[in-house]
Amino acid sequence: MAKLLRQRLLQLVLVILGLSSLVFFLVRISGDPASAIAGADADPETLAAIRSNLGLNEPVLVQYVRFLGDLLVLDFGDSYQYRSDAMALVLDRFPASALLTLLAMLIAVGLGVPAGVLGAVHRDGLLGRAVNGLAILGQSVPNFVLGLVLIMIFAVSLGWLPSFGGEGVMSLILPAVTLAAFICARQMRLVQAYTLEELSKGYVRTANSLGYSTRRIRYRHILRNVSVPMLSLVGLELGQFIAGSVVVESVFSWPGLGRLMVESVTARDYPVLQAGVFVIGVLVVLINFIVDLLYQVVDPRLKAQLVTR
Amino acid sequence: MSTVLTVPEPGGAEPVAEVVPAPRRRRRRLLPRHFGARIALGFLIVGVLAAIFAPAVSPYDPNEQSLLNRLAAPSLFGGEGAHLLGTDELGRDLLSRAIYGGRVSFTVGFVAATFAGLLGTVLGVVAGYYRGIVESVIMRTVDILTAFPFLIVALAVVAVFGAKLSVLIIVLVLWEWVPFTRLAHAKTLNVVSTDYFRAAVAIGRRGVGILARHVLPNIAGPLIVVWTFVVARSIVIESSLSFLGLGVPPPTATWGGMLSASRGYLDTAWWIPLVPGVAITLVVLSVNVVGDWLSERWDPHGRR
Repeated sequence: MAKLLRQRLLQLVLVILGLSSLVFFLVRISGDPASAIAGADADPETLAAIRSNLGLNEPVLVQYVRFLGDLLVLDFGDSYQYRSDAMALVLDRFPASALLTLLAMLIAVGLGVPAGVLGAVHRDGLLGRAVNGLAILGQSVPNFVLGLVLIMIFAVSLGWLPSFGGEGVMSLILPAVTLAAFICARQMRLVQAYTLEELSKGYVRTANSLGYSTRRIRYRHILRNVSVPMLSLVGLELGQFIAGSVVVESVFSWPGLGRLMVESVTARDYPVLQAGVFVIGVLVVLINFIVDLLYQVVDPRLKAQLVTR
Repeated sequence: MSTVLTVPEPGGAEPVAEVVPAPRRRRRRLLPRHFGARIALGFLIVGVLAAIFAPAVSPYDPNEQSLLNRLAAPSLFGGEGAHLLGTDELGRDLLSRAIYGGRVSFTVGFVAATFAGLLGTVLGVVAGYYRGIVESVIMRTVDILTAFPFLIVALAVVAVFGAKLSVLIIVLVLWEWVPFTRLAHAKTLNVVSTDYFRAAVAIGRRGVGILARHVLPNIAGPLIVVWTFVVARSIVIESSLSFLGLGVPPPTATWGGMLSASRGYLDTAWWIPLVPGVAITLVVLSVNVVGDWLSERWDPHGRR
């Protein structure tokens, strides 16, 4: 446990340091942040003032050390666009993204897991093939295509749901479904594959011969064994999820972190980019850590391995 | 495993490796074996050829504007005019733009996945064979990169270096080698512990020779499967970046860029978003179907 914690902490530090340094040097390569702040047609005096204000006249190494110092106290400076604290902006947008992501995750797991189990049980039947087809289709439709198609059907043609938003429960539905589709398809596939593997194992036969109901065997015994690889998928695919939310938020003009990142990239608003990358990096490592812990809850056998590893 | 190899009969004229369908899949076939995979492969070949010979096969110049012909409905679906898949908001022929858009996507997808595959395989095999500090460094890097929110890094890099084809490919390669390394590493560890590998060591094989001769051929199958999925993912990432306005800039036709531009016409001209949307979906789907088929052949445990 202590070792796992140490490992994850080290990973956290390395990820944050790597990401932040990457963005820091990218910004320095890309040209003068001062002109990004003041705009293209600023006069030289303004530019010089901004430069000395931000310490841009000092050697890059000095700037880097100071940047690392600021990183320690989570000070990313002010947004160039909004002239307010970058971290505050990011945290302000964060709940909207979290809401969308959580809902999408719920949809994905809630649909994907039962569908995967059913797909495995009826593997050669119509249902199994339908699950197979849906899974591969769901993994092939890029989320911005799916988003636009859903908008065309449910917002434009039928007029049932708003096509963009940030307000109201209804405006959540389309973005959440769009974001969920890919992960749902992956869950379906994975659960199906692992359930198939489990179905042929001895304990299933034993449970059958003991007279347990099919439902109990499927959803209690098998699912418990399948949940370990499922969990690791959630951890591994998290990056995919965040990437997905960047695109989906742009499609639906969702006022979340992802769209803020795209905006700050196009507007060269580097402090916001830094703060956003920081928050996302911390989250990814943190969730992977939680997934590691959950492994042990779900599968006590792993506990021994994790401790000794 | 859906296939078994029959043992050649002792007195037979020729050893025949006959493929027998496993008893589980006894249902009658409406379609030939791997029908979907054949269709997908055929579609991909046609698509790639069309992209390569785009100037010859596309009916119009993809960037030729014709303001009199704006938003012409596709004649394939009953629209009037001479544009099979219709025209966009500037009167450009959508079929031609879709064909040219394939050039960007296929180039990025295949080139990035191939270089990433080479790099990742070498690193994974080296990590699994030499072990020690080399392995630690490579595999810890893999762990760290896994936790990188890639699309955001890609956004930042593209914003700084400009959305050139080369930049897109380099960014993708620097990230997509990870799954190859993970797999090559695990598989190499398996091979290293086999008897035939020990035998090869015992007769004095070492270094690159043993890796090329005994390790690579034994791990190639699953790696090719991963390659197909990385091709699909690279195409999706490329078009996502284009969609966000950070891909190869207009007027060059890209599927993502076409979709992004279509957003104002969702209610008036359904064919503008649909043409690039269907193009990219069909291509990614085909790559995935082919990959699935390969994984069924080479990797009994499916994609992992």
